[in-house]
Amino acid sequence: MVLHPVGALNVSQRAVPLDLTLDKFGNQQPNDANRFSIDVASGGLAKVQTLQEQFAPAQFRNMDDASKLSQPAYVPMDSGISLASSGHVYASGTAITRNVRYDLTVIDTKFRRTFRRFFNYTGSLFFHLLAGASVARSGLSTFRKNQTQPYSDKVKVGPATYTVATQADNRAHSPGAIGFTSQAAAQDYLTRQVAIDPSLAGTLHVLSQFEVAS
Amino acid sequence: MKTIATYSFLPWLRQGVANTIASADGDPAVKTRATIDVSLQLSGDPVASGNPELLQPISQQVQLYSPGDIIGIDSRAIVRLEPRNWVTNFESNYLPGIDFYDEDFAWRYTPAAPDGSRLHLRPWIALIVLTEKEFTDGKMTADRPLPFITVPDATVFPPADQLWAWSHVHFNQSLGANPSELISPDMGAVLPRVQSILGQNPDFAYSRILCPRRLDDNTGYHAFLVPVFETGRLAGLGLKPDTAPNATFSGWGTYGGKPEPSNYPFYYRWYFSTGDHGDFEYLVSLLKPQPVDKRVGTRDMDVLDPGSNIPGITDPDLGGILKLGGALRVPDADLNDADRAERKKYEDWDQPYPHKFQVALAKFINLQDDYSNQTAAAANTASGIGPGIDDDPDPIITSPLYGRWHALTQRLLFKPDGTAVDNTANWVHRLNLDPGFRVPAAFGTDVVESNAEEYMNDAWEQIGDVLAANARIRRLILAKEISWRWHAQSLLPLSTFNAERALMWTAPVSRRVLMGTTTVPALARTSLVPPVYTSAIMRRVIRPGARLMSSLPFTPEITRQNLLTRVNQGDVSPAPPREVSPEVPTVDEIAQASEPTGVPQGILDLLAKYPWLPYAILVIALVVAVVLFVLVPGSLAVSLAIAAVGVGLFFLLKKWEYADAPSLGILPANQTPEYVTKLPKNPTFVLSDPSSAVHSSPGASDSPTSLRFKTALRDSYSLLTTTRPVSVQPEPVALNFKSLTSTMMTAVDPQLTIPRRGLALINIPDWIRILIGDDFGEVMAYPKIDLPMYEPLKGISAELFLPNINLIPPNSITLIETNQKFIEAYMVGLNHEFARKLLWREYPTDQRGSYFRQFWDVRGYFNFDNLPPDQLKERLYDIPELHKWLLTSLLGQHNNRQPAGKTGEQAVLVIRGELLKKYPTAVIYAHHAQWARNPDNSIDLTQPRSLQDIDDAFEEHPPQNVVRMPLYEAKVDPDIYFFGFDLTVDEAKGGSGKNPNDDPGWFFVIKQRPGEPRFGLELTRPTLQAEVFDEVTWDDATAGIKPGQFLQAGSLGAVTLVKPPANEDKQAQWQDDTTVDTALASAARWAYLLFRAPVMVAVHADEMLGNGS
Repeated sequence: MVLHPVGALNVSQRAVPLDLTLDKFGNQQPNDANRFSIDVASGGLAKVQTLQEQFAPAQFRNMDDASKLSQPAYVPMDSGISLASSGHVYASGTAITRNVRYDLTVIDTKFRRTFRRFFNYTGSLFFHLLAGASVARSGLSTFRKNQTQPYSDKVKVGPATYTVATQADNRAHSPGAIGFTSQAAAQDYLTRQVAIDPSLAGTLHVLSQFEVAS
Repeated sequence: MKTIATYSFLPWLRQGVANTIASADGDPAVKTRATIDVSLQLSGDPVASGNPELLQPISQQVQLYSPGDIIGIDSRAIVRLEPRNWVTNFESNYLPGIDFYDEDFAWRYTPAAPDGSRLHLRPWIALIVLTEKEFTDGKMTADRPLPFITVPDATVFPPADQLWAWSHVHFNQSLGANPSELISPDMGAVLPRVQSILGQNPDFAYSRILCPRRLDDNTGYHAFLVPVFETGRLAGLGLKPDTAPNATFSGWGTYGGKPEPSNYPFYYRWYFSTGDHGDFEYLVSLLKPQPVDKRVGTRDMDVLDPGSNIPGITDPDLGGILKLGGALRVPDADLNDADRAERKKYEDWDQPYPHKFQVALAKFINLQDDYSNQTAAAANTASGIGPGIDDDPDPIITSPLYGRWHALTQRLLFKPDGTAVDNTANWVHRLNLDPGFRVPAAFGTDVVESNAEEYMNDAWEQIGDVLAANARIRRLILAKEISWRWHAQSLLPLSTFNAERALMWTAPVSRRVLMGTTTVPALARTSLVPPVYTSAIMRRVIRPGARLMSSLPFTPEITRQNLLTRVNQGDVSPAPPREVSPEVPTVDEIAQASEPTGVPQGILDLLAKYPWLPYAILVIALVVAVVLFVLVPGSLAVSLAIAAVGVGLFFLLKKWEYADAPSLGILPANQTPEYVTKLPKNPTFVLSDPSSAVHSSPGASDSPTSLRFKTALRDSYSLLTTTRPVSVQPEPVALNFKSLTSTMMTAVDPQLTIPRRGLALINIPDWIRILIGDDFGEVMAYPKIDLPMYEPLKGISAELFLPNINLIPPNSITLIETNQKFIEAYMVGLNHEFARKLLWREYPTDQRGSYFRQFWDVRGYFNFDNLPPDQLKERLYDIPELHKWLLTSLLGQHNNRQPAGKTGEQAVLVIRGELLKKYPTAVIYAHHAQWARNPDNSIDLTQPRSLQDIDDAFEEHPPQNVVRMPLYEAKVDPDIYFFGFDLTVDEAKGGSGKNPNDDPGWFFVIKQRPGEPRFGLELTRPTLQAEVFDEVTWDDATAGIKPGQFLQAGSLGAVTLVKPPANEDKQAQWQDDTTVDTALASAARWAYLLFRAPVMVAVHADEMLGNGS
């Protein structure tokens, strides 16, 4: 396995969705563990992102026929993690700073001229003039990118997301109850919340994000 | 306090996974690639609760790409060469260098960790410079990934173990905690600053590699970027990298069996030579004002045979040619009368307008519109252009009508019926019918054609996932239309005809519908019609055709359709009201039975209702008695009698009240702890069966049983008092079916729900939303490309940008002016062609956008007015949006930058010089001058003028009356620069200084570009001992160092700097240098030490512009 030094390492699989309580696995009941997760155990790497793959929720959750028919056959569910170095993104050694003073020659008419060493010239113009430096003229530069991509916002098509909401007013149950990429994951969250606090039974339901009351 | 510009240097920089490499430089165990350990843990929650969590550790060694995997670098990664390719006068005391865009590039593939001090990390590439005698180019390059050179003597390479010293990271901002911190060893504080600067603008940092070789005078050098490690050398030569002794073994080290030991592949090369007279000031001094050659900016264009059967322009006066201009032209003022007359003749070549050539051309162009109205043969015949077209039965390919979509103009000169169109002299006609402007427009189409991929790529990137979004929106629109049909035809009539039925129909989605802030089922739960009435089972049971419903007898009042309504009215209830059997004694009955006997029921009720009644009677009786006694003399007896009756009544009522207390206490409303105290005391109280014959009588005290019973009663009443309010069920209310049905109908209206669902998943940015409005429809947009478009025109040929550009003399300064008509024609051509291109590539847009509006490069413009970025950009565009150009306006009247009301061309300063070849990014701008004054305030003409001081208040934002940056600029390689300044020549030159109020004029400041430092050591110095690092010589580093030898990384570890005299500017620099001298040896310290102060030269406009135009 060979990795690019500035890259990130993705660990992902398509056998079992992670962070989801499995009622079944195909036609079989799990008999030792029914909910899996992957974490970084040690070393200089840390999880930076959760990865997702397409899974068929009906393969892993007990669902009635109506639910199977009313939900997409495949939905994105957690499948692994992306790893990069932990702590700071960058590493380096002692920085040394140099104040930039100019050698200034002033040439007036009639051969009058003066010379000054280490002349301190306005810092604000210095920053302005960086826009004309070789680096800003490079094809890779941010300056050029701003010329060809003047808009920061683009048309984006997002995945459908689901929220666990209170049945009484359709507001999100808690800040952690939003943004599930599948109904199965949201339903799993609901079940776990009810297990923690049985008084919630019958008071929550899963809604598409756009139907949640703000 | 002036802010001072700063650079910061880091000795190395790494990002990402590479930071986890642990193996040391030179570790023999690392053969080709560095490896890192990845340890993960899989955990599983047990199925049976109580079992332990299942844990499974997973470990894997992951290799990282190393130099042995690299067989080339993208030349775009290189942003600067020092000196530039083919510079022939590089100063021999300076060091050649190369800058890379990525700040970690030089160390990215090094298969080792930094040393223990974390100051030294060798880069994986090195810069070497060789004279022509020291190498030969490799010949057998077939099957080799990289070109190579053969170097017989490896001593021309820098010492491999010292390479850490010659590569550093350059930041254009300070990484110190404060302005006085020059050495920043606390990486916990520095790295967040690194991240913040790079997050703000990645252009602010880059990596650099220097070559530490002492160069010889007047010698040609070839610079090569070569792999440092043997694995990289072998991979570059096409050999197996794993034959190297280890991953960090030097590419120019020796070992047994080294394959092709003298061959060295390289990733990049360039050539330069050292020479005399290369310093900045000397090159500035070479620039001299010169008059401009009158031929600059025009060239002859043959117009005798335009082709396509269109007649040529054969007017004898014109000699078969027209003049084709460029983006700039010689000002009229610089021409003599004869030249001006000649220019006028060619400008007015089509008088009287329209020329017969133009008529034929218009008819030819109009053919494309004719074809939409009549057959091709008929249109061709009717055109009357001439043989070859008139008799052609097929449609022919005509010439484009530039700007047709923007101007909404489909025809030139003639309407379909042959009469004249309006505005025949407007910009559309001039541009399309004058070859002098058709040709620049065609340059525009040519530019778009040749760069179509790049521009289309930018256009698609700007808009994002528009195809996916539009595909989804189209599907949603289809869904909306189908659902809307059903909603309008079936559901809405049903809701009017039978609201109850409609409510039943929509019940399955009711939990997703809000009424106010409550969901519909939550609301129903508190009503007479709880959700169970609309549940799936209930709906099944009471649907009109169900077996139960068929078998029930219905009446005109009780129908199949009004069950819910009747439930809501309270007519129907799922269960009959509860009734108490007459045999069961109720609380009320018992209370009644235990009431005292012989007392009128009405009085008992009054006492229960008004416990203050006895007192009231007593008080009234006493008051009446007293009043009577006072007012009526001799009424003492009557008064006393009244008082006695009052007192008697009082005691009687109190007695009855006391006797009634037990029976009242049984009533639920009185079951409170307080009431227990009101119960009569009973000394003989015992607990007994209600049917037993035990009786007790009230008395003065309670028996022990009575006390315990009362305590128990008090406690149980306390419990009742607390739980009663909680257990109260609100009275169910009737639902408002009308508003409920209306809410449900709106909630399932596909005109609302489907766009809502669609737009929740699709993010449409504001800049597109403005264009398409709020309607739910496909996304359309205008891409915008703000690149300076003179560049691709110049890219085709500098002659197209400015004809006869080579007639601008070397080392000259001249003034010429813009040619707005040419620029407009070219920009219309660009936009017209790109509109076609967007249509062809199925970009979702109409064809009326102004995609290109920038002709000149405006990066130098200083935002004096502090405009927000969008407004600034709008101000700096060269043309207004094309669809806003008036159809009555003329070509050349659309200069977006020109202030309203001003006309005419703008002056442009042209500088051509050796200076710009060597320093191609040199800065040029104007700075106001100030006179040297005598004590009496008269001007001292013996002293040179100086740069006007900037007030501290304006330090961060210098005002326009002190500093003027170019409004726009352009550059033609290798050595010609054009600057547009908002200054007249007279303003720039200023007065003579004989009058104290004379304006001192302006200096043109030419200086080394910030962000592009140069490195080196001095050859000699004026003082015996160095006062600052800038005065350190090569001999200080290594005594007697010869050209071709290398600077040693261990030298100059501590430099003795003598304090300069107190009155010199040098003091501050000396202070800085002595501080940094104490830093530990690192590439950052070397960068500081070798940094040479940049140069700026201010030349007064009077000197620079001379007496020319």
